[in-house]
Amino acid sequence: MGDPFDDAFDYDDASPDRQAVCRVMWANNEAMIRELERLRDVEAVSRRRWEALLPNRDALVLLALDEAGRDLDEAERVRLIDARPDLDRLRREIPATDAVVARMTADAADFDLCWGETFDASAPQSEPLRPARADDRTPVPHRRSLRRVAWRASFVFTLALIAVVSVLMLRREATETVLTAQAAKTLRFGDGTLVRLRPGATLAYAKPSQGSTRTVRLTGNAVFEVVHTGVPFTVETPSGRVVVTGTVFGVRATRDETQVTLVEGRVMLAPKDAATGVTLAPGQQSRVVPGALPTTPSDVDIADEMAWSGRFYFHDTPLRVAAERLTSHYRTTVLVDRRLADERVNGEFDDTTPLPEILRILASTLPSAQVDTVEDGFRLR
Amino acid sequence: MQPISPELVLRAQQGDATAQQHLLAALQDVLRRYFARRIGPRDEVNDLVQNTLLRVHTGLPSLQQPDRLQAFAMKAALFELQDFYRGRYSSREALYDPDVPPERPVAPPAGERLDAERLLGTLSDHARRILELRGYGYRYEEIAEMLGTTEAAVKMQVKRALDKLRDFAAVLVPLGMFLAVLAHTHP
Repeated sequence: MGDPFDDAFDYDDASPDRQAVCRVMWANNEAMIRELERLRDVEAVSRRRWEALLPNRDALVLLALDEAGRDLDEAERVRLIDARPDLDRLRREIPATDAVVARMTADAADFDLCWGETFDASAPQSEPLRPARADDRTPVPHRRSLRRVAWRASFVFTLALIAVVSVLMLRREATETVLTAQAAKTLRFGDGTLVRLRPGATLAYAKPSQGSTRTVRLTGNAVFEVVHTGVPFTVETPSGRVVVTGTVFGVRATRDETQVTLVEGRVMLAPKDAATGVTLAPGQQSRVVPGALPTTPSDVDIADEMAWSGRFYFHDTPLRVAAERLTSHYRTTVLVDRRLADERVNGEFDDTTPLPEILRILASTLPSAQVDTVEDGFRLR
Repeated sequence: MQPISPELVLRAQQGDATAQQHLLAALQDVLRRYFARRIGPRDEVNDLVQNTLLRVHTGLPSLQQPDRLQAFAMKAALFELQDFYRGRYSSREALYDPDVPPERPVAPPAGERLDAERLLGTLSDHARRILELRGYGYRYEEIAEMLGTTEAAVKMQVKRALDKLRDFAAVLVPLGMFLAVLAHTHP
């Protein structure tokens, strides 16, 4: 290994194993950690500026498309006109905005190329958009023939690939899919049911087929947002079974215990081989261990109990409590005026949602509330 | 593959399940090719494809002209791509995410966070632009491509910026402490 800083630069693209090795190395290298802290701080400052000035990036996409002469529909035009003052300010305050806009224009052009390649077999295969090189401008005969050979080779390869994939798919059809999430991962089943797997969770599910019972097996932590279809959705864990008809709930399943927290809807938690169990109401939690009945459902603070899920669940939560959680998570002060402190708020947010966006949404649900940026964070008043 | 006809789009808009299935299957091929090309063969490609399909499926009824599906899908893909850069997929920014600090044996010196904010204003235009693009979510490789330079040159600029921050901290933190002591002893 050369300069240890190279590892820091490449950290986010490194394998989990390599990342773990880096962390161990850096843990004993105070100077290195200090450097990483500086890099992290500088990048975080830059990111916060983007989030503050551009909470919704869609508007910048529309601007890029508009400037590239692309058609926008009427609603998009209105959105762009509304966002124009903010975008003008963004351009003044973050000079790199123009580079981002140029990149988006290239992103759009590349999409058209991919479209052409997919639906028009005669269209030339293209490389990713890069500045043209001098030797690209004048095709030479032997190069064209090489391309033809390459085309044929890729065609044969594609056919072979399709054949292999088809065989694999046919073989898989009779089996179940087992997925272990290395990082937080979201799955959406064909019926619209959403499963948010936390890192390390393993989910096994059969290939969905119409009319089949919806059953998955889980070890680890996950949140389920089950769509009502008339067919029960069942989560089997090493120690229990959760049967639902349409709801949002969190499951933390280990070999020795299954804990279920219900956010909304209705679920039944039963021992693994029992037909009946306890029924939970929203805001309740129950646990089951092998060979025992589930605990009597008890009322819990959903925001607290679902903190592991990577989402904020505010259900009738006092604003001051929500602000405390946001302050703790984003490490930025969120102040609440006394008038609003005990107002109840509702909402569910991914914990990667920009803080200003969450605050703006919460404020919009409160009487005459607004969000101000203050020196070390935000104030709701 | 056969092009997607406006008739197919219309039938999908009208709720024809078979048409919807064909349309999304065809779009899936385009999107997979597109995202793999834009961000490389990464795990997040699958999530990007699925979420873009969801955007298309959800927004399809609002598509006024069925023959404009290509532009419609392109916008959905671009919107989703910005979410990817924003860090909403996986933990690719974990090291630098202020929410997930690297394990560290010592506390950062007081004032360094503030210094980082001041630093941005003192950098050369080029270095500042690089850090801004990092803040947007682009990888070094992508930034190099955008600025027409090499990845190594981009990283060198960032290293220099950090050296500057170190010097900045070395001067400003003691100065701040000195001024604080002065204010305390001479109120």
